[in-house]
Amino acid sequence: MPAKRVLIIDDEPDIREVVAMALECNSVEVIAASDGRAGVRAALEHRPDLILLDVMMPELDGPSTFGLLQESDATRAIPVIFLTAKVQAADRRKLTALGALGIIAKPFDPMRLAEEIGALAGWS
Amino acid sequence: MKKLYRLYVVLALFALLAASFALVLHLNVARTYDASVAASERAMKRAAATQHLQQLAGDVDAPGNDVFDDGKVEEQARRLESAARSFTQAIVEERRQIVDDEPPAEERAMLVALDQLDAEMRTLVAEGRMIFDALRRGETGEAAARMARMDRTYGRVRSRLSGIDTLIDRLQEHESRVQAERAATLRKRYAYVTGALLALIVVAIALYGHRMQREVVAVAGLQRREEELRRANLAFANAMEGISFLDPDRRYTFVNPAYAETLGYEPTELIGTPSENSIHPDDLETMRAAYLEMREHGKAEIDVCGLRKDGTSLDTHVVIVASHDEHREFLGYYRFMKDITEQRRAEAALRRSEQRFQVAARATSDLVWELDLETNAFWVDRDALERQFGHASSRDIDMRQWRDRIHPDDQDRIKQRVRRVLASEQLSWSDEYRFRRGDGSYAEVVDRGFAIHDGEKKPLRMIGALQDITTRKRAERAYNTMLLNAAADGIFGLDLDGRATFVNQSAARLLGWSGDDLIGKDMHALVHHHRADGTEYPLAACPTSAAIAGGETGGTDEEVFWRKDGSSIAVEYITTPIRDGDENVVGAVVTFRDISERLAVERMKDEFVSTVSHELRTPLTSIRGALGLLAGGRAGKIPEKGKRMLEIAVTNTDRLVRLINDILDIERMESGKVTMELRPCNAVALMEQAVELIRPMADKAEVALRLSACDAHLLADPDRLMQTFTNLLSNAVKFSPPGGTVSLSATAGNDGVEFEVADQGRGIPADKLELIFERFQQVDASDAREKGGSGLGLPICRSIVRQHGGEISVVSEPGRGSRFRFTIPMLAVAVPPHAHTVLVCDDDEGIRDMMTTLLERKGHRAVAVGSGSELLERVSSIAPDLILLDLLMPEINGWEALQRLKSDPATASIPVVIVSIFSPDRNGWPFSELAGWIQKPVDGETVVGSIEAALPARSGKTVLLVEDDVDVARVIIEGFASLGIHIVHAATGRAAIELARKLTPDLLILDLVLPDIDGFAVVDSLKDHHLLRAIPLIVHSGREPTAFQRDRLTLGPTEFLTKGSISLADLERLVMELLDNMIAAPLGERHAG
Repeated sequence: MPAKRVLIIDDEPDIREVVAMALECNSVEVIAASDGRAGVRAALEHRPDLILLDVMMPELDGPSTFGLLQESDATRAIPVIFLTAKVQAADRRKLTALGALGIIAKPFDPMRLAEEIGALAGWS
Repeated sequence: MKKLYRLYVVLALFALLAASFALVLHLNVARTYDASVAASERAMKRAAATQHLQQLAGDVDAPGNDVFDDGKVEEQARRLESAARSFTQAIVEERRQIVDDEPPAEERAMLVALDQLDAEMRTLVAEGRMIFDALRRGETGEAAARMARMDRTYGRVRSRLSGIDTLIDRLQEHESRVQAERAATLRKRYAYVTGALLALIVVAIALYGHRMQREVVAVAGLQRREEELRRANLAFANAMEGISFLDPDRRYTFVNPAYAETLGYEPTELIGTPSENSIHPDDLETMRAAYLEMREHGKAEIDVCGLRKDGTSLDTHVVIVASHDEHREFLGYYRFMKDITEQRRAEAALRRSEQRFQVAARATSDLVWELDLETNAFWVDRDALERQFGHASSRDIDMRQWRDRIHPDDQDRIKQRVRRVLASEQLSWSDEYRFRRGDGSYAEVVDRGFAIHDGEKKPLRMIGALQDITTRKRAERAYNTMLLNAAADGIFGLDLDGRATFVNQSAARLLGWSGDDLIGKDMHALVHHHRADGTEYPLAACPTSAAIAGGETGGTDEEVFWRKDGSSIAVEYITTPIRDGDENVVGAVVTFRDISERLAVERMKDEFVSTVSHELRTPLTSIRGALGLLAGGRAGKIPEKGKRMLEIAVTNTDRLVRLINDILDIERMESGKVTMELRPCNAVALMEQAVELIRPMADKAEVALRLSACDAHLLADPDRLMQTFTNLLSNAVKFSPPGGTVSLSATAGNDGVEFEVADQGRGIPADKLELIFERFQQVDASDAREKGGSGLGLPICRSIVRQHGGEISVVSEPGRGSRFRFTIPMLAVAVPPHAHTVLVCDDDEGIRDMMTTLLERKGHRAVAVGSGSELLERVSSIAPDLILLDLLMPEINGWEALQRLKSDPATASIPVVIVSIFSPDRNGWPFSELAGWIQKPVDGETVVGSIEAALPARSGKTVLLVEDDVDVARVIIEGFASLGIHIVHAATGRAAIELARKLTPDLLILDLVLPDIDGFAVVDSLKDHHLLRAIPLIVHSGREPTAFQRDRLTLGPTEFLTKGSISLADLERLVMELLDNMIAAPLGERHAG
């Protein structure tokens, strides 16, 4: 299986670092961006296999970033998984309805993060 | 009338006879003074006679005597006879005495005189008999004439008596002193007799006079007057009980016993004494004046102070009448007397009490009035009326004038109240109203009335007092206004038309008006005309009209009041009906407060909660991540002890996260920020899912899970229900010993489905059973640590269950486990509006079962047959809408069966879908009639899709659903998928218009609030399209549209549904109806239009 490349977009550096560490142990290449616009640029530049997208971010939030990604042909096909602290079922449904691949709730278990992503993305 | 005549005549005769008898008696009494012989015998006689008299008197006074019948006349006639006999005997006795006592010369003369008297008395009695006879014959005229003749007989009786007098005088001249004394006694006796007879005749004449009076009345026919007169007459007989006769020197020559008794004498004691002795010295002059007056007028009536034998005085009413003989020669006086001491005393008492009443009436500031309820006569203290209300009046005012002075708005109310009080045996009433003063202004008064009842509880009179409370009222109002104005809440009162009657300062300030400007204004139209979202607020929906029309208290904190400047304020308000003393609603009072600030605070709190949720979780995510990686050895080898510490850190971080989640969850839920998103869901699926979620945990704890589901459709929020299941299941697993069993079961009942989670754990002590549903109330303080719970799981469960309209409870036995039970309402079994019957023909039982299940789950009726021959045999009786046909079957195969079906006209039109391992490509579609082809192995989706595509009627219909809420849309789309209707979904108004023009749908379901342009704009746009302007429309919106809005929203047949008030099944049924009508009405009509 070729090495996967995951883009994490989160305004929290610690979380970016934890995600990077959790995934890199599983041979996943991690690119990080600290806000929505940087994330879209990084996606265009690096063409990741998957994007982990934080929902609550200053300026451009997760859903808006998702919208930007959908606007471009180059990024529309990249599956997106939201990382969110929102626990309400209704909030979750709204995110799913946007067309995201799935949702991973914060806080997550870093030891199972790669596994969860793989399951959602259908990586075998 | 006749009977009454008789009565009077009979009464007169009785009086006469009784008195005659009394005379006889007195003769006998007189004799006892002269001779003591046979005293005892005479005493006996007297006793018997007295008895007789008493009997007569009793008969006269006996109740019911006023209606003498003929039988009574007979009885009285007999009495007359017996009285006459007694009289005769008395005469005989007298003769014997004379013979015994008198010398022969005088004796003869006396006997002759007595004989003559006897004869005259007999005539008198004979007249009496004839009167009775006349009465018997009913000839009252005759009786009256006889009465007159009787009067003449009396004259003769008197002349005989005077003859006897002359004889006695002669005796006096010639007889010895003793004889002379005797003669004097005799004379006295005979004078007595004469006087008594005269008195009797007067009585008779008086009664006769009354009779004549009655005749006049009889002619007038005044029944009522007659009754009164009858009473007055009796009163006369009783009133003038004392009768005496005075000689011209005003000495007593006769007194009846009542007269003597009144003055404290024996009757004989008075005879010959001056009548002045029985008059109080102070009144002698008055009495003399009365005699003079009498001489002039023939009669005088006077009240004088009498003097008794013992020197005490008494008040008397005296009537004196002159007595003349037939030659107009003055004989003396009749003097009738009545003791009126008691009457005087009563009158004095009455006067005193009247004075007291008047003084009291004057002393009080109240205006006293009295109303006679029988005659409606009205009396009011006129002085007070003038003094207090400035109504000067020289005449008494009547009830109507009084009522006119009550304020017109109060008149009916007061009238009704008084009427009600009088009808209810209530003794008093009190009411306030406005009373017009002399100057035309109105005073506010309180009127208190007291009904005075007769013995039968019928009100006779009403006495009342009216008090002017204008000043007090003004002060009260000033005080109330002060209170109202001091209140921080806005308060305004409304009359029955919803117009403001008062507005306090806070209300005026909050609404931006000056208080006076608001008085009389329609408050709903002024400040409550629209809702916060800008839709019109019909008065009928406003709690104010419920308060005024229905007497209901209502209110809300979700509305706005509009200010004068057009801005709005969020308010919380309560509308309370105002009732008068009779509980009639007379208006309403609205109390409101500006809750903009509170709402702002609530918003801030929500934001805070949301922020906390995010801000806490973000560092926790890093911590949890970092710890997890460390503990997982990703950052290098960690020594055993360090690893243990890391595990502790990880566990507690997880606990902290759960705690935050639960706190936020319950906070939002109990503040009503989270509402249950109720939708139809299947109990089995949810329960299975919950058990699968818990299984890893249960496996780890070596606890077995058992599921006993029941196939029921619920109306519930599936996420929340799942949360409840998992909370309870994880609790149960946590508290179960290894090897124990946790079971989740469900039973369908009448009210809903009862779920039960049972464990075999340590159980819950009885005293904790109620507590465990409270926050942070764990059975054991150490549980939080050991079991990792937040202490909020059960409160959350309870909150969820309650929001579903259910209740959660627990039964437990320490040491033997606990059972948590809760009920969730069942979805009203919605019969799919248009179910189809599908006939499944396959030799494989597994396929048959699968198909049947699939079809039934979609709401269709499924019948399965195992062979082609059975199919052909039963198809007619089943009359399916669709046949699913396997091709490879023993005996008659699918092809053959198909051919036979299509060749029979009865079955040729039934659509057939082939279900086969063959693919349609290879064999082609041998029959154009085939409705579809499903290739084995089958999967649910394909089967459902093919079947629905093949079903007749509505298949092929297109419905355009315009709905921006993805969840709502999904529910509707899922529901309609099973009906074979093609649904196209548009999430925005523009998309809706575009799709409608492109597809020309058969029906439009339209939400009004859309992100870009609203539903109104969509309808407006579609109206321009010649095909679309007539399509059926279902407006599915959050609010009830107004009539105006309805007009604007209409296309073809249009229905309005309010979200939440209608179930999905109703929506589906409505869509079906509209579509079926479309089918019934030729489509061409639509296109032609």
